Amino acid sequence: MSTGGEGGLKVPPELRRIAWLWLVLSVVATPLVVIFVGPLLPPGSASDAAHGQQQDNTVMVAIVVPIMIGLLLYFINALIMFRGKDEADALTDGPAIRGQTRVMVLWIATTFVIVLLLAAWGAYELFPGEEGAGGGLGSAPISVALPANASSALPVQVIGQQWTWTYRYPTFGGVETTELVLPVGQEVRFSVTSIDVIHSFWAVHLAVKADAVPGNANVAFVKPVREESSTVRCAELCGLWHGHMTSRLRVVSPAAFRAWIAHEREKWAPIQHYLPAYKPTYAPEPTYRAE
Amino acid sequence: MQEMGFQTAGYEAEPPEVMARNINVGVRLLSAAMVSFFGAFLFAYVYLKERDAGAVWRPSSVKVPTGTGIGVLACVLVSALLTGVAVDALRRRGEGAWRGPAAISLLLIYAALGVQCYQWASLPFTPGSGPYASVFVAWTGFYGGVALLTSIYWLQTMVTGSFRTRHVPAGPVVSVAGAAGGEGAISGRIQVEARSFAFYWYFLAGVQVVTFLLLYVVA
Amino acid sequence: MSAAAIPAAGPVREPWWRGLGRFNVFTGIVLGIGGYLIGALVIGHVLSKGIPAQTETNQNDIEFVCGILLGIVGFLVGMGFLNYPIARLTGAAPTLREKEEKGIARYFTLCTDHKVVGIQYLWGVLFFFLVAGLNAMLIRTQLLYPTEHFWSADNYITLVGLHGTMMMMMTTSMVLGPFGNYFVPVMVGAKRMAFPRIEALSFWLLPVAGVVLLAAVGAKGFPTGWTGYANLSVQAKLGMDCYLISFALIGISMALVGFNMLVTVYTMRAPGMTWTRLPIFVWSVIATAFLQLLAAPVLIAGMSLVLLDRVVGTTFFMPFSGGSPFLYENLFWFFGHPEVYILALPGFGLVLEILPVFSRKPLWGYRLAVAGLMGVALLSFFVWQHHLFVSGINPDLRPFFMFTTELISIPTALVFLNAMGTLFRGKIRFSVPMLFALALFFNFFIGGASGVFLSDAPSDVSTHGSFFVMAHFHYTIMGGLVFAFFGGLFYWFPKMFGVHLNEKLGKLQFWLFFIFFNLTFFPLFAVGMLGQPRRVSAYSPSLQWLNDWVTAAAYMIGLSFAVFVVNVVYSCFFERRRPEANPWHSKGIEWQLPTPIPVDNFERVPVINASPYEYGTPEAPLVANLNPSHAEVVAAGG
Repeated sequence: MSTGGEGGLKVPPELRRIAWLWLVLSVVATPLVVIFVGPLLPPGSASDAAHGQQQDNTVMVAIVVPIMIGLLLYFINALIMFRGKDEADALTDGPAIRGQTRVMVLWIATTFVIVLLLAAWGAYELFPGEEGAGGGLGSAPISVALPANASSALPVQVIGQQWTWTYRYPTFGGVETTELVLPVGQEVRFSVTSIDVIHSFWAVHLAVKADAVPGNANVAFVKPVREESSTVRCAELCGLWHGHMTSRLRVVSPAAFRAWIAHEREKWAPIQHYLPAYKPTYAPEPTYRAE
Repeated sequence: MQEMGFQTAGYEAEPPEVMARNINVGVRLLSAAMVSFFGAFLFAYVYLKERDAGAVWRPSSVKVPTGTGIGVLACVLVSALLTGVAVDALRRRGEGAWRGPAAISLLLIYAALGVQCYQWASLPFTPGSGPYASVFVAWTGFYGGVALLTSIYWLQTMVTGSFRTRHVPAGPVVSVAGAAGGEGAISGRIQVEARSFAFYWYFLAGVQVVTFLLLYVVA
Repeated sequence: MSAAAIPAAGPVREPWWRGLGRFNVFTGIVLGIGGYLIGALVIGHVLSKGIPAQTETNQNDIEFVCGILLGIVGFLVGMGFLNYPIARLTGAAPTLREKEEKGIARYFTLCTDHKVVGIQYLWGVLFFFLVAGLNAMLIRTQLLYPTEHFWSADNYITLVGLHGTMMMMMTTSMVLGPFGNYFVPVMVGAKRMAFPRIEALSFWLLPVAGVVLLAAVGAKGFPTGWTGYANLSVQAKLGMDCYLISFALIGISMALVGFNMLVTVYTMRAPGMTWTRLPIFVWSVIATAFLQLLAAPVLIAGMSLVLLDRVVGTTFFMPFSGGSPFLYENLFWFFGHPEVYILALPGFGLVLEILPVFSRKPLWGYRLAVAGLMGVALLSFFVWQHHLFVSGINPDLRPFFMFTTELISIPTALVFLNAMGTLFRGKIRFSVPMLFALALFFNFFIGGASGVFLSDAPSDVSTHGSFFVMAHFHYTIMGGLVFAFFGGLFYWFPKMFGVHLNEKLGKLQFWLFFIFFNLTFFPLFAVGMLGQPRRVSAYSPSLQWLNDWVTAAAYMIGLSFAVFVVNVVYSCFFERRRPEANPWHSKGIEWQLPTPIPVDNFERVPVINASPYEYGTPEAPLVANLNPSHAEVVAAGG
């Protein structure tokens, strides 16, 4: 913090103690937080996206911790040291200090550097190298936003409607299921859409979120890395039963996935021809108002 | 908005130019807010048109009512021109010369509103015939309901006030404590307000030009 | 001229009921109800004939909207807002009775005294705050259990919408309404606001909007929360119209307040009140007013478009008829993000106004503070798509909006620097206003730091739309604005009402509020990160103990407000401690005036000689010369 800053600025005697204290505490606390708290941070590491976000959160926590320590130390120190000793003392004026240019410049420069670092790091994380970010990429993501193995990804369509999720697997005959099952270790390409109002597809443990907007296909990539069951939720208020708009998500072994999808195809085969042909978006007959 | 500070014994009157500056600054801020307001319609226009420039934006069954559109535009532009003439006359020859052109200008705004109402009544499509129809209805609706009506109100008050007090010798430009200024206070207002109004009305005429280009020419 | 009739406030006293017949709240309500009935049963009925979408469903939006709109017009006519326009239209001299009313009655009429409007705003805002706060308690009660126990999903979703909308509407005027109207003219040395009738209108739209919004409860509620996303809002029931109209009314009110404040500060400053002598609170009002003036019209337009979709049948937001829900999201957040700074900036101004007084130091880095406030205001127009990082709108612009969002932390950090510099070597007094002001920095730091997580596009994927966001903006708005509001209230209460609020009860309220505020909202960050979306009536049972903890702490926040109510009642009606003329020993110009401040504030136009922060400079003159000679006025450029 610039108040405890060194370079060329004379640190006022009132601050010398806390400047050292800040330095020591930051140097000790920050690595401890990164090492011990970082791996515990949500959204966990059940997918590449989750892992990437966890890393991201760890970096931000590491930046915030020394700032927080600095501010707390400064305020606590100031409030104790500069408090009026008694009623009369509190009514005498302090010295008329109006500002020091060097402190201001140092402060602005520091915050600017932190902002640049954060923005650069955030932008870097948006480029999916090893790990995708998991967010909705719009209907036609540009190539730099795609993960390396995007072409071999398993396409899964997510359809939101009031108040349930359904899933279609276009490479498996466009079969429609009410449960989301994914093979572990396989890149998945979600194409999220809605047939009534705006929903938001949130696979909590996989750290995937993409708004389901009617008339729009929102693409998101993720690679689950652990076999695990969890819940899909709706993260955008979509009316009465928004809180109940959940569905089950299972990440299973590739063999189990193949068995499951074969079973689903067989189970739904009798009604498959009633479904509309697979499309990125569906336009139901416009109704003026749902009652 | 001025005659507020009614006379209380011992309290100093307000300098007369305060009201003039208030209205002058106020009208510029009002125009800025209008930019935001119509900017939202402009955004809707561009956004919906860009998303779907094909048959959905304006199906071929939706005919642009160009004739009435030109009518509104002509009324607004001539009226704005006359407002300029009126302000010029006010500066050179005083309030008496302002009255005539201002009154005709006012009538033309009424005419613009009339043509606009006729257009709505004879609209060759319904509001639900696609995004173009939606933007058309909303934009012309709010132009008529907000821009034209506020201008009519403002100009009407000035014209009426001026005609009513045309036999009263002009008082001081503004008398703050309205009581002291009497009727003269009202006639003095014209000096202050006419130029601010002209600014507002030029601005709205500009909006109408943009409206015309987008809704009727580009469509 | 009726002005001549004023001194004749003679001994003849009319019976009180005679007053009911003149323009006031009573006539307003009567005409408002009449307007509703005519609008709904006559005009709306005729207009909706032959439109099956309206008449053949069980809800006729045309009738309802016509009723509400005409009801609003009726109320405003009954309040007397048309008297002046009609007088001017007919060329007659307008009547001038707006400042004549004396006593309690003037608080229920169209009053153009900015101090009366300020106090009207104060009680209006507190009432809204109370109702919306109770809604919050009811919401938290529901969340004691992971499924619906207390409210049906229907009632719950309406409670959520009411809480959010009322709070968002009310907080836009929480500081600018009471303190802006009351103190800005005084602080710049003016006798009035630039446009007093517009000022009165901006207040009276607030209760109207409140009533219209609450009417939604009787019209089957609305399911959209405060954001009112289309196209959910297009398909919603009648209550949605209430939301749309009342939010548009608040938009009008906001734009009018901003307009009025800007003109007042620009043209009505006293001689010698240079831009660098302006109190920092006034600067924050300027920044806020700019945002209100330019952002609120977009809100009005957005609400109108949804209303058109519902009532006239346009297709702006109907995705399968050429419209786009994205259009609404863009319009709404283009207003919505400046809106959150409309909430935050006056809070900053208030605490920076309070800090110098209680540290007895000049405001450290005055120009930097101004730059900070203006910087926030400017940047806030360029960040709106950070609400839409996962929506699929312009994903390629995410780095840009991430950067602009994070840039805002630079001007915000300047406010922290001002506070730290002002405290340095000061003589700090821990009076109640100071406690609230200091707490803002603690809360806002947490709010700001959590904002960094949200602004980061990859991390936002998980936090967006969850309780994390909800905790974040409660930390900034409640922890920032509401704390600043109470600081300002305790600071200025002696000036506004001539009563000193009890310090002990004030400190009790503060500590209850501060501790339980943090105990409520800090766990919500975890709740959100662990997967609980906002506005749900049902959640994962594994999160129940955290939610129960939060609910218990939220009840304690409610208790702290009860302490405040007790404090006001006790101080005003039982203790009645008359404050000294200048209880905080502040150098502000408002404390040079007598209490209560006279109707026209200053007998003569004052001359400003110094900035209000000249602590530690014994030779500095008083801020204002209240009785200047002609030569002094001329010398100051008057």
